Amino acid sequence: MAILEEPVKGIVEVKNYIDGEWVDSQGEIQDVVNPINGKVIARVPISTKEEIDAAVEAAKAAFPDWRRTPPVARARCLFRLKELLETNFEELSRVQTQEHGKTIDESRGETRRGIENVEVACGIPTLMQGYNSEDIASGIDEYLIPTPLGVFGIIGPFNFPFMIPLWSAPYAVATGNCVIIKPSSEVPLSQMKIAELVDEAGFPPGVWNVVNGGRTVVNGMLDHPDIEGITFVGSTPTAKNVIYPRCGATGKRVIAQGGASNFMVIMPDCSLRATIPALMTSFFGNAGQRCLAGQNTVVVGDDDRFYSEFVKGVVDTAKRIVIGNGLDEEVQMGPVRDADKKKKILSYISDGIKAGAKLILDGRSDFKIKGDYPDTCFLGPTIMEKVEPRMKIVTEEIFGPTMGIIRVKTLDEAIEICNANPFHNADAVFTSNGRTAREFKYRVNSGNVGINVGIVAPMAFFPFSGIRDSFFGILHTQGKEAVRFFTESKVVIERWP
Amino acid sequence: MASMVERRRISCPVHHVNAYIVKYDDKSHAIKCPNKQTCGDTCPYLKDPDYKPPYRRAPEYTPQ
Repeated sequence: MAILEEPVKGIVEVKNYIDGEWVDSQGEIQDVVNPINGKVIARVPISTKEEIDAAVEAAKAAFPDWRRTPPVARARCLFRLKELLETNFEELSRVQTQEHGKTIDESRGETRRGIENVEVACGIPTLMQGYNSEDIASGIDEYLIPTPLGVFGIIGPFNFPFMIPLWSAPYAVATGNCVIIKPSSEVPLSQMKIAELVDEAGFPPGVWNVVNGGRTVVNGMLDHPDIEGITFVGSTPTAKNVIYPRCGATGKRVIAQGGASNFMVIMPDCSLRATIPALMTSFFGNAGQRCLAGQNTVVVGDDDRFYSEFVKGVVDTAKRIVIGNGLDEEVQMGPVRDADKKKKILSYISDGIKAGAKLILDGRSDFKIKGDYPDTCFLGPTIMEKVEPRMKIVTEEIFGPTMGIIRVKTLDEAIEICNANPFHNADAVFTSNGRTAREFKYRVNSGNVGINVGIVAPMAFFPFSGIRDSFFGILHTQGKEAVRFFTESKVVIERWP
Repeated sequence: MASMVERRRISCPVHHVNAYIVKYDDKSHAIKCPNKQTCGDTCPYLKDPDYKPPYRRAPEYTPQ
């Protein structure tokens, strides 16, 4: 199959989108590098405090009129945005592949999941309805009216540059708020493209803003008294030690989604024909850079024959994963995002080996790249057995294409391992037994639970959950919970004497 | 007028949406898809209603 045409040609000068205008930043400029071939595809500004302040001012000024715009009219802007996203679907998908490295199929899936959030937010006239009680006392009625709050900051990660800001932004603007999006400076192009379509969709100036940058922009958002709340997706240390406490200190609402170390529990009664391909996409899809990716399997039972067949199956199948340029439609795994991330993954593999894990597929060297590309950011699937729950490769997030195999005797032990881990983002069980499945979903303390599903990604009309070190806050992004997060419950008690 | 002989749901591998293929007794077929306008002639099912995408997200596994 031919390699698809790259949509980004030359070097794009990324600008900020503030108050409906594309504006140059005074901050320093960083290169955006395509991880497949090391080519610079864009230059992104690291914006200044003054620039984030200007965006907040613009959003604050746009808020009163936008809030007064009827929800049906706000929804029309989102319907138009949805149409434009569909029209530009393929270009948007290829941009993700170019800036991030993921395969085109993964990018198309990401685009679809992002659009679905816009579609759900189009239902805002119904979604943000309040409720009322007549005659709470004689001649007195009471109402609840969900009202927008003002300006929200949305801080995106590098692993899903298109979709993750759309877990929040459509709901924020649909409910009448204004937003400032800070994409990851490593992958700013997807949000730039969305902002171009937002502009075309007819949103008024100041409602949807994009400010590129790093810590200065994040600090500017966290400290700004006119920002009502923040949604953040990134690492646990930042979510736990920076975003969550500082939002608390400044009285902001917060959704802070952190990292994960997810377990896939394999019961001996599972169908290996279905389970092994599901594990391949769970562990190695998006090159393992997913907070829903499996990091370790827990194989239950003392059936040595099943265990051997499982291990041989995952190793043989992982070896056949086609690695290369994501714009080649035959490729099933792209590179990791950059050389530093690769280095970190390599150090985890070394740690695992030192701690006693047995390497049975070495993704450091035992792989081939389809096509002539430098191996700077490429890794193959790595599989280690004899992994123990105390090892760093279990207790910390690797965020790369690695699979650890832990062996236990009973389902109870497997659930104990899942629940003892500091993260509780997504755990799954693979079984053909309904009772086992129920027991697992009932007892496992995880935000997103899979039954014979390897990537437990909630749809746009369900919250993207997470517990303990994977999530800091109360309400989650997506769906009805996002609508709750972006609105205050105003209660009116009314009497006409 | 041709009568419908088959209606099949497909999961489009390009746009990740569900669509329908309707086949008629005169050997013609139609695509019922919310993305039809966007994709236009590039829809692989227009030319071949039995199109099977060659791409697989993960290699297949056959138990021993």
